[in-house]
Amino acid sequence: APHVARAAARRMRFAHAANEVHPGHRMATSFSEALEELMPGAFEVQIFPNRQLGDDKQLLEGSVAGLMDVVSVSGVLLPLVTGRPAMNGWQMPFLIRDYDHFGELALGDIGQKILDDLRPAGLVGLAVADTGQRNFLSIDKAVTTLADFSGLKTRIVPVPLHQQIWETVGTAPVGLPYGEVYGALETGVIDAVEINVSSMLGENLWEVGKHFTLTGHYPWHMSTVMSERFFEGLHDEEKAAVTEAGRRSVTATLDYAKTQDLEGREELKSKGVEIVELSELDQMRDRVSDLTAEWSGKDPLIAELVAAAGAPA
Amino acid sequence: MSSFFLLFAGFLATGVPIALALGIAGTAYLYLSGNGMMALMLPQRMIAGVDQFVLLTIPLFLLAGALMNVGGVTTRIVTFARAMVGHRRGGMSSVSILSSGFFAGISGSATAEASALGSILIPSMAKQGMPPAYAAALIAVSSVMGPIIPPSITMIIYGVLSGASIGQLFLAGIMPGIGIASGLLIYASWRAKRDGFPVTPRMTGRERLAATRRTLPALLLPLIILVGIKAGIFTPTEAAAVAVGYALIIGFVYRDLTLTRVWDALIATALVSTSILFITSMASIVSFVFTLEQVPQLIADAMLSLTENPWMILLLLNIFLLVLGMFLEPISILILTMPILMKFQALIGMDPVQFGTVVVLNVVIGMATPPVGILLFIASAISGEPVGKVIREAIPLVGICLLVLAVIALVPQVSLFFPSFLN
Amino acid sequence: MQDRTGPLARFVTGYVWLVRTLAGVSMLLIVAIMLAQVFWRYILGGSLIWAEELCRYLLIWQTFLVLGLAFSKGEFVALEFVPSLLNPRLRWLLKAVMAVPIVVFLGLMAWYGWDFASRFDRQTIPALDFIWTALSGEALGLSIRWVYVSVTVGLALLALHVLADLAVSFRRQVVDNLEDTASDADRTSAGTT
Ligand code: NA
Ligand code: NA
Repeated sequence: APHVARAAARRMRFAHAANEVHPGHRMATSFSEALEELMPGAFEVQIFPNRQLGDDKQLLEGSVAGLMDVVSVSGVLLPLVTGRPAMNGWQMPFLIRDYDHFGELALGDIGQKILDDLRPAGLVGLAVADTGQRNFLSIDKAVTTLADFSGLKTRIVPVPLHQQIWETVGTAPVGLPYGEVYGALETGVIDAVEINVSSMLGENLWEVGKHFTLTGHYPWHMSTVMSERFFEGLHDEEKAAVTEAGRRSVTATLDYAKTQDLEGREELKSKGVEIVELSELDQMRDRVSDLTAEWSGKDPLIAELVAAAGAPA
Repeated sequence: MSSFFLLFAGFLATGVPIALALGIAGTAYLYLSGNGMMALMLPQRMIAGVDQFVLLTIPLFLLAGALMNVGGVTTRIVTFARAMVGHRRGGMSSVSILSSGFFAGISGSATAEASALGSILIPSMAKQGMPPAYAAALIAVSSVMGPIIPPSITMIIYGVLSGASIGQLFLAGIMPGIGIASGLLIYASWRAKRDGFPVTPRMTGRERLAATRRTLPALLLPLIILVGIKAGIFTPTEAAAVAVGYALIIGFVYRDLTLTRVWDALIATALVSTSILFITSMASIVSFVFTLEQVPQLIADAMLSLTENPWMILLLLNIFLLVLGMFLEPISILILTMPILMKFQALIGMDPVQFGTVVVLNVVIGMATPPVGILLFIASAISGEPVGKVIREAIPLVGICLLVLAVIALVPQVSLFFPSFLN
Repeated sequence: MQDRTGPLARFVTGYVWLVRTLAGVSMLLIVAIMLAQVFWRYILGGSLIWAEELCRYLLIWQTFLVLGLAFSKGEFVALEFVPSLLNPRLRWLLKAVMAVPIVVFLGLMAWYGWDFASRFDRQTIPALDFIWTALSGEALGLSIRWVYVSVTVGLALLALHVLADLAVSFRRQVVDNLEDTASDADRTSAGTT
């Protein structure tokens, strides 16, 4: 059918795997809104949430191959798929204090360098944000001391960094597909899971686990990346707008994630979840502190991030 | 969108395998809609269609069934059912229905059930004086219980796609399974009386005890799976491997299994599961292309323009699925329609487990409906009766299944009885 | 196909043996790994962190590798609505015509699969890295390409099987105008749910 001629907006497909209340979706919507503000009518951003076009890994591969325009994916996957380890820096245990700290670094010099480090893999990094600080959910009893971690069958994402951290802490890390976590916690196949508040609510994990320990061991970072092919097809004004929209989405996403985390804790309490502090948090930090030095040796950008994070604001 | 359906129907009619018809029509549609450059993504979609941990249950449950079959369990189940109901008028027809129900408890697949039981039971029923076409129809429709009574490959796929709990779906399948079995048993007795089917002598008490003892271990499998999952020993996916291990143990204990038979079963299972997984793989292409073109939204809008009454939507949805079920097999239907189904579930506001049960019943009953009813074809091939005759005999039996479907759709308490009872 | 001892026949026999053996071994490994995982976790309180991933990759390879064989064995579900109305000669002709889009599709996807896989040389297979690190202290670094290339291998083999089936049935269906050897019973007994 003939369609009415109008100022041709450039279509941009933005895909991610998160559901529509997850901060990951906010990353996409805030990016799209910022772009509209910066260049009204120039882009028609079509958002595909909820794994509609594939899971994190598939989406990321699609953008590396130049087929997906823009995707937001979990930061853990970037080193895995691109072979560039710098993005692991964000999850050095206990390096990032909170959402504000994350934002400072993400919008600073080192944050941009880590995004730029993706360029050789065919990706233009636009944003990185913490979509939920990770804590510890256990089934049988509350974990309050370091000894309580010992031997707990804990579901983790099976990547080397996480395996190393959780083995050092003393748990028995188990790799399980995300979708099977609820059932595995319910039946006792696993004893615990390292998780953030939004996933506790989103996946109804509060129904099966009532002991939530605020460890805040690392952020769950997501990164918005654009395929190089799409980026290079833009003219300079558009490139600048896309880059700026990425930066604006960082602040918007962090605000959303922070609010969701705090409000979510209240909601969890009202659902009967016992939220406790780890009395031996310092001991836990000490136990994993060597890992940060070890991983800093793997990539100078990780070392730089570690240095920047420790520097007084 | 219509170009996709035209191409797909054309390929199907000319004998192109369903999997390839899906893949080719989906790819062609991608090019026709101007997204041809995205075709490079399709091989990744094919892998994604297979690359899910829970899909491992397909070869594993098929393997467990195959091992039970070559291990003589099928024959033992039939003997056990004969010991229980074989002496009634037209007893072999009741034996068939009961055997199907028991077999469903160890197998997740209707076609495996129809093939395994059909070759033993259709000749036995014919020998007892029942029309072979009736015997074939009875096997075809009873096999519908395979994917309804847990374990069930169809429910696993539904759970994977929708996020509904697979364990709960399994439990929800028990009542409709019992409903279908009872309905068919009532029909079979009525039919036996009307047509004066002969009676066979009752087995002796000793024979019946022996049959029970020999079948008990196989019948314990569903219980072992359920208890193992509930006790946190293994996940529902791992349960399939446990089922294989259990089938191996009882097969070797009874000395019906040999290493050669096990090896042959491994290879045969790999071949059969490939034909299923290739469909999920190709359907994953289609769902990708449909999503890009926002087809689910278009269909949902079209349906909503007809009515907004939840009951009418439920009715339309059932008709929509039954019609699809006439032409397609369950897995393709689920993969193709899941985004639409999710929209409707939200609209109707039905419990996700009950909704899943309704959908699964719907698509599985489609396997026994013409024109494309794979179960009818299998039974007709085994019996040597023309498909047309088998279909005529199958119509009242399918009617019984539809009645059960209606009850499940209208009364939530029926399907949710076991899920809520065991929580 | 008359000469059963010629080099082609021996090659075919060897190929079929190889694919069947690999399929059997893969099934066996899947069962063994999953049972080992249950044992490790429930009895020993540990975990094989690579188990789930490795099983998935085995399933992917197994699925694509045996596609061709499954096709020739008639395991693929097809409707045969039009073919059932035709005599053997015309049926062969229809099969030959429909083989064109099939082979083009399979060839295209096999090629794209190769192209796609070759873009991920830097992505390694985590499961094997975990195993290798446990054994030797170092990651193996085998590229994920070796998993993704299964699509190319499988679809290319399937295309060859489609063509070989045409060639094999040519004599019987076209020259002698006889029914094809694969009966309808075989065609429909393929397993679906
Ligand atoms: Na079953
Ligand atoms: Na049908």
